Amino acid sequence: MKATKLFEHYDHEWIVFGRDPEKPTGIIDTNQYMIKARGAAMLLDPGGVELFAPMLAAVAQHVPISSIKHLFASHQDPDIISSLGLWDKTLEGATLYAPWIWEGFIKHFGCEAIVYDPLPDEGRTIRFGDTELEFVPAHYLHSSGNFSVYDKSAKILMSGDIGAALLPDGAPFFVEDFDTHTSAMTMFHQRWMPSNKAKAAWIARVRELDVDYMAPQHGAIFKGEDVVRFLDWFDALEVGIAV
Amino acid sequence: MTEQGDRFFVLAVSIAARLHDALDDARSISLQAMNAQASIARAGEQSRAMEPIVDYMNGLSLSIIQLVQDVDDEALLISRESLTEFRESVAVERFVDAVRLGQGAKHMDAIEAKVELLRHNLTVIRQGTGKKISVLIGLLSSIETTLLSANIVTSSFRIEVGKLDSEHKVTFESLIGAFNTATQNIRSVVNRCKADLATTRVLATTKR
Repeated sequence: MKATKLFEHYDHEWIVFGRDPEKPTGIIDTNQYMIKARGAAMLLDPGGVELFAPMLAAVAQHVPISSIKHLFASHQDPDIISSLGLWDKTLEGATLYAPWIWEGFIKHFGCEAIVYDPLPDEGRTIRFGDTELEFVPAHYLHSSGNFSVYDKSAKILMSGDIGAALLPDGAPFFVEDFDTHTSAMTMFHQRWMPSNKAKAAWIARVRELDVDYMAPQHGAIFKGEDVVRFLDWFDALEVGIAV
Repeated sequence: MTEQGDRFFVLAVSIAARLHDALDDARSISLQAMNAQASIARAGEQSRAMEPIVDYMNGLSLSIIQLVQDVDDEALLISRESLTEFRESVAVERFVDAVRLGQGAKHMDAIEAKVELLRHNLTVIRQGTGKKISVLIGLLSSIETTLLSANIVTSSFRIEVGKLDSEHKVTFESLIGAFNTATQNIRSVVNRCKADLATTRVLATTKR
């Protein structure tokens, strides 16, 4: 599995993992993220059970497993968190932050040692190392209980399925040409996102944030001005079209 | 599911299904014994000698019912344990993959230690399943022993029935026939279960 550093400032780092060349065919490609701060690490949307082994091997290049004390799941989908049962056997004293409405569902993946910390609908901010992480409500985008994560110091927004694109294997980690990239995003957002009202609420929240990188769980990462371009594009897009 | 876990899971489920029929037969024996008790009461003084035999027959049928239920409980435990074994063996496979993929990574030591721990846990689970299989075999053997006792009791019963007048003889002989059929059915189920167990054990041992 490939890994790229998104941000580094002293001991505060963001690393994206993905584009696994050994990924079984027929499963959607995913981006997994790790934040390091003051010797602790957090995995964001750590991925499906099929990617656990390459993900664990890749993470072990960067941090001791004992330093991973936090997990985050933006929502309940298997490509997001079906590896939970295996992380549960790996980590000691770890906490999973995930939407409260999915607690009884996500625990079906196996959650005995890991503590499930349910996120309230309105979101929450936690201290992580020297930074603050804000769990930004993104309900109905696409899941009915859904969060993005914003790191104020790194100015990175991990947006979950928002901004996702269905790209061919081996595509670059970053958006290179926004206009071309929209063709890989349109169907995904129109079909998976059910609510224009929810979309507008999330865009309004995110416009208030200072974002250098918008990092989705599928596809490519948006940098600088492409973040605003994405918000404008998404704002104009009619979603929930399959009715 | 792993081959061994798969086999034990299927075995446990098939034993539970087969024993459902055996339980019906055991209940039928109990019913026959109760019928025999009523017939003895009707036959009067000449059938008094058969009373303790029929009581014993009734006791045997109740023992068989209990044993069959115990086998059913044990089979359920084995099927659950097989699923646990499946989950643990999948975890071992994933961790072994991670070790292979992460060769040379800075922080692999803890993961390698984790693989050893998971392998140990898997061995403990497999040993537990093995013990439960032994308990199951023991219970099936107890049913066989009880059925042997039932045979002896039936023989004694037949001798006593031979001393009766023809009117009562017909009633009791039909009871003996029904009793024999039920015990033969149970014996056949138990033999098939034991044969399946033996095959599964051999396959599991050779695959380890």
